[in-house]
Amino acid sequence: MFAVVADGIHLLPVVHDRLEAADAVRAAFEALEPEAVAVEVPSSLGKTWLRAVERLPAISVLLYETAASETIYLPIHPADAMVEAARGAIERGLPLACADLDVDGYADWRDPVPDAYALFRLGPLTVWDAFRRHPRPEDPHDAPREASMAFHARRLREEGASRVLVVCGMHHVEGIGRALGAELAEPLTPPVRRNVRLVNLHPESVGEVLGEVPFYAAAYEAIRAGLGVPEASIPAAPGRTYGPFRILSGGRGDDPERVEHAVRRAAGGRSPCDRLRLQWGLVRETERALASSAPDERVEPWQRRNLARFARNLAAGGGGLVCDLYDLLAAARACVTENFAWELHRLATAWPWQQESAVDLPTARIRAEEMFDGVRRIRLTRRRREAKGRRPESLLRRRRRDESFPGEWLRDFDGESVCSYPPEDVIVEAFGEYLRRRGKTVLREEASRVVPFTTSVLDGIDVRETIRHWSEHRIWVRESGRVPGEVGAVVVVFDDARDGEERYPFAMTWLGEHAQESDMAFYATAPEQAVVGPGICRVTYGGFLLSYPPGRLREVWTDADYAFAETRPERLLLAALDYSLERVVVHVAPRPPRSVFHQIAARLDRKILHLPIGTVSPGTLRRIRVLHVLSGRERRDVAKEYIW
Amino acid sequence: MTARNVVEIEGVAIHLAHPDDLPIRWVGQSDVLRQLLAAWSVVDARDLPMNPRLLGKPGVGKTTLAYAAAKAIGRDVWIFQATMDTRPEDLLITPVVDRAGAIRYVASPLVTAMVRGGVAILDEGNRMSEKSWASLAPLLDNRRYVESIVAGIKVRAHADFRLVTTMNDDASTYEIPEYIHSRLQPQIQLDFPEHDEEKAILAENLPFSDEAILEYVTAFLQRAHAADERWTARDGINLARYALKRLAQRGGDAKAAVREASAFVLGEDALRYFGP
Repeated sequence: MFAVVADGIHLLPVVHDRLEAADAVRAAFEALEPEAVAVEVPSSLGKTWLRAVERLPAISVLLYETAASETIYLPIHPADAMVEAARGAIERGLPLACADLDVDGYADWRDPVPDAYALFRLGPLTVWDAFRRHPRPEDPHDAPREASMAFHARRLREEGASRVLVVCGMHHVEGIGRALGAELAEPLTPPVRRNVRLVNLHPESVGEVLGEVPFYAAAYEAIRAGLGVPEASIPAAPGRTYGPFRILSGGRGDDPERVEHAVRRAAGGRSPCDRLRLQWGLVRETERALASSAPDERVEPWQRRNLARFARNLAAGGGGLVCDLYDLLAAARACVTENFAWELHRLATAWPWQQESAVDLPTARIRAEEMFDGVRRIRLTRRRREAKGRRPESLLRRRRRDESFPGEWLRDFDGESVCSYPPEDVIVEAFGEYLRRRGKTVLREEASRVVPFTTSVLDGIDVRETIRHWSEHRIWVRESGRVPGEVGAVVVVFDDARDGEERYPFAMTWLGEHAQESDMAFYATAPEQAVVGPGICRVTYGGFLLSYPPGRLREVWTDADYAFAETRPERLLLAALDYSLERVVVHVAPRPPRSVFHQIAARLDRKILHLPIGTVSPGTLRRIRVLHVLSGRERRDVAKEYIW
Repeated sequence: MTARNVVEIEGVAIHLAHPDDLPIRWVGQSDVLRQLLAAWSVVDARDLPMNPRLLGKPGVGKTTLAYAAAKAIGRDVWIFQATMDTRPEDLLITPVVDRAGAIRYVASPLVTAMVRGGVAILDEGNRMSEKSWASLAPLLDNRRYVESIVAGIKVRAHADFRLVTTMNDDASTYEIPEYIHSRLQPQIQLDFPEHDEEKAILAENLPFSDEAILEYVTAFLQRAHAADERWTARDGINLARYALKRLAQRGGDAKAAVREASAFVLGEDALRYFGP
């Protein structure tokens, strides 16, 4: 486990900002039981840095200015090896040395280390061995820094610690090892750096600045704190609840308890943390969150499989073992949906223990390379910058709106009337028309045939069939089918589950607003459970009926004539047979109707044409299935900005 | 037709198509190129490549990207242009009656790519009917073959064969059923490029244009993208090209020439997105 052991001093090679390295530190504490600890943190920042460590699990950012007037920032989170080493020492009451030298202008090296996941699988020594074979160029600052770390480690030893644990970057192990074998003078470094500040990080900025994916880091923290899998199940849906209403706003107002439960379920109480498991846990928790707020966003098994394959390929293409958040989002967007990727990003970048204000520190928002502390804006330089152009949020095209203050959107419900959003009406109407056309095509094809020519050319020679049978020297002719009648009403059932009434409590009958619009009866999710804008609710259809011409539909859901129906989809089908002016009723559903419905249809001189819902494009179904219910017509002008 | 272009499959002589050779280069947006290559990659001899779908507005560069990705892995490319009336046999093998009255079987670009181990780009795949897609179903899963009813043979795909289909997100499309939809994954979305990338695309296509025109057209495109308008880099190239021709003809102010060209190329409603 230790790369160098010299006179009781044990060097543990790690990488920064990776939970696998933090886990390795925990394992080193168990194995070595050190009596003192030294970490690769500049001594001049030590006091402030330790204050940030003690604030955990609340995340702080340490800021300081270099001689070149650049502001450097360093976020302090639990899944970092140095932080874990400091916490281990503090909890055990051990002496701790921040042993690094404070230097300006240290190059922002990208060490050619293997994917940190290898630490979990192979251990630090094997990874360090691979790292040594590809050393990076020397930096003039390396030698004095390594001498400083060696000096502090030796001093801890001289002060009576028989076993000293030194946690340092892979690159410094050999240099510190060499320095330990040489004479060492006390490093010349200013005792304290001026202009060092510590700020509490605003919850919305956690995803912007952490070196590790916040969700994984939070899982690490949950395991570290002994938080097991939660027994009580709280609602998995995102958003904020006010009485019967749930507001699904952009990124704010997520219930911290919900996030913590999701983190704990994904962590599963297993130690050490397996990043691949956490990644899959994040995907499953995203599914859970979406399923509870939008049934139209259910993830199919084949989508899950494709997501896993594509994420794996993206990682392999970049020389990694497990993909980063950027690639995971790219895979989510490509293999599931944009909304799924959006929810994944929201969960991945949430931190359940962060407050919008702190009593002990000022709170700052940090966006990309800029910080705003409520007073001024500061240009920042990251201590360890991520690759340019790989900001996960850049993959999310549609931004969702937020409330200006909690409960703002609820003020716009006047309860007087509800109406639809016209562009969605147009889409549904076009879909109904498409199904009518398709129904006719199916009926025509069912009734048409191609036969060898005997005495009649019928509806013409079928050239393709004739060429296919060229060797037989016969001509083939086609007879076009005769459709048994026009298509009238259309029933679309997305979900025919028996517990539909619980899942889709919102049932309505709407009359067309003009001559080109059908009457509609539908059942859907409860609007108040997904408020997405001022007086704007997002609901998901369970099923609907379209009947044309408009203005004829009476209240379908209370009509005693349909008491025979056992489920809501059956009630819609009965109404369709009842109201259709044409002979054929198209029924699109996961399963065909019970045979008794065909008998009912025959008695009414109607014909049910069932089309399996799988024959309709999933993309179209997703577009059709979402409806926005607006509280009053004046909302129609602003609805576009809130619809996702 | 040389013998090199005829292969025998299950005892039937099949005439193959020629690969496409286009003078195009992919500029900017390296991330979508990386995603496409990742979808095609395999990590083990038993692994199978995915069949990605490139989505985006017309003219955003879907076919160019697919072609560039194929060239990046050193493969020949066969492009099949799908249309509303593409039939299954058009996609696979077509019988042609030759002068002697005999039937000759001609492979589509797609089947040629399968046989040669190249890349097939199924362009505008959204225009094809479900029946045509159904004939490709076994190719798109772990069976990796197609069955030509016309020639009465089964054609297996070479291990190096890769497929990509491009699809416009406009309305002139057939419905693709779930069993096909689930096989055409992942769906890689081509968004509008950023300012610098878009300018580089224009410069790549119009190396003889001066900087001011490129900047002016790029600024127009970026404003149009922000308003979610339909115009893409292709429209920008056409617009700038026409403006340059007009300038060469009679000189004058470059920006005025671009605005005038836009009225002809894009229509009056594009004018609102031009700067002074």
